[in-house]
Amino acid sequence: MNAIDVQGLSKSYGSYYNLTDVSFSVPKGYITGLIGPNGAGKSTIIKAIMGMVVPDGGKIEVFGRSAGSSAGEYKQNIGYISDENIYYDYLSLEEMKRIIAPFYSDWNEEKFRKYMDLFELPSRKKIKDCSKGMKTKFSIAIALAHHPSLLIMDEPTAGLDPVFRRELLDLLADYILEEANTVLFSTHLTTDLDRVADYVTFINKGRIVFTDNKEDVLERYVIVKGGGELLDQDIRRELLGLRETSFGFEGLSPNRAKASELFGDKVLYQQPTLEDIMYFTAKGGKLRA
Amino acid sequence: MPKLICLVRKDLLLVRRYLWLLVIYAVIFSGFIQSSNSTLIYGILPGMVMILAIGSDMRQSNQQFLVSLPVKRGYLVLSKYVSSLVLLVVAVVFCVLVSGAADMVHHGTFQVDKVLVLGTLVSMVLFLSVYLPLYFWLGIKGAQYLNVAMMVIILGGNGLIASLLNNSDMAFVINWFSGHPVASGVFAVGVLALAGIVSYFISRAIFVKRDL
Repeated sequence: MNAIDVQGLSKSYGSYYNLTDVSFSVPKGYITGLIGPNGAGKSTIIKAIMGMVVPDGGKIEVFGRSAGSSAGEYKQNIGYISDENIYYDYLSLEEMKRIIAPFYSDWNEEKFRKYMDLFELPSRKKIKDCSKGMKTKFSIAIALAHHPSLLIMDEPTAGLDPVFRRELLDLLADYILEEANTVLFSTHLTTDLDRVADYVTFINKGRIVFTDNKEDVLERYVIVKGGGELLDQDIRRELLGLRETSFGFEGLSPNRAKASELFGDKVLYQQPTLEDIMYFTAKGGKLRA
Repeated sequence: MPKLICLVRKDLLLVRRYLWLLVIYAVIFSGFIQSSNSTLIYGILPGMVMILAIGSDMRQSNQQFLVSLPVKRGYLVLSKYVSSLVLLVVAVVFCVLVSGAADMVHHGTFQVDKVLVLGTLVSMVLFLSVYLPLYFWLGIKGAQYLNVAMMVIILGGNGLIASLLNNSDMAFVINWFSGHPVASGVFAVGVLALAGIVSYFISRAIFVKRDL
């Protein structure tokens, strides 16, 4: 069963910023990373799932229930962590918690206190006086205190120091140990996903490039490095992104088997990272160094 | 706790920070310091309270927070109406008490201007019926201008309604209403309820389609 099913989602904001027929699933019990460059549409997808953005078309289901702007109850099972502060910044952390807690039937005060202590958050501090890291930690404490079976995080690590980023990833790893729990994690910092993600959905310019198991993706794609004389029109078409220098070329092939067939032992093959895949795909064939 | 009550409670908690401002305003314009300022207190204070309550989560990020809660958007809209009405009643009761107390100090009697109270309640509910759809339609930027415009309307409109009710030309109408209290009550409640219901459905239709 999938925790989230997105089918044919589309949203237009004008000519430059659109979501077009976006379909993907978030398998239950795993961490799925939603990656893509800035402005690719990651936040719009997450906002559509949370009912903040009204899609022009398509269907979203969360745990088999219809989700979107006209529904509400499905969010009982979701812990949402935004990329920006969505709370009332003139309130203290404690006052904000007092507003949020009654909305959740499974609110666990003890658990909330545990995270507040773990993150060393002062309850009486005003939200406007908290650092970006403290606000994110508070969001996490709030999100986890009502026992959600789905955690949706929109760029949670952006702007955080490396120490807390690591701690956050450890926290996710703990959270996912419980089989019923699922995480959808949007980021453009793909090194975070290299560590924890099981599945990856890559979106670029409002379209899904791939959505698959991370290991399969990393095995399927390959970086090819070779001399410029090997490049002809057919080869160029086979490569998703191509970086040409005076010494040769470097390109990303979406099909390792086909790349071996084309180049044999005339080139060097290198295992790409998610960042490489994102970089070459986003830049396409326009790279020249 | 029912979701609607949670949302109303949230509005009451948010408006609490303006309490000192409202108390200072009420004391200054109640008649303790100046005489006969009933329009300034009845006319402004309830409207001010409602605008502060409605505007407390006007920012887009705060609206994102509200929508992230396990509550339908229709409920979020409905809660604004309920919170505003609760605060309207509280504000009017407060005005009555403060004005009455000022009367006690100056004249030794506790008087309640029933026509003014009724006029305030009617005009404020009608004001709310117009204000909230505009608020949901215009969003944060438009609502800033809307607030200024509405404060002027509250001051002018409320005084206008109160003076209309006191006008001799309106005596026949008022006498008829006074002579038929049940029918008048049903008529007034019916008109206000209709205005509120139509306004709610318009606000809901606007807010359900809004991208946050």
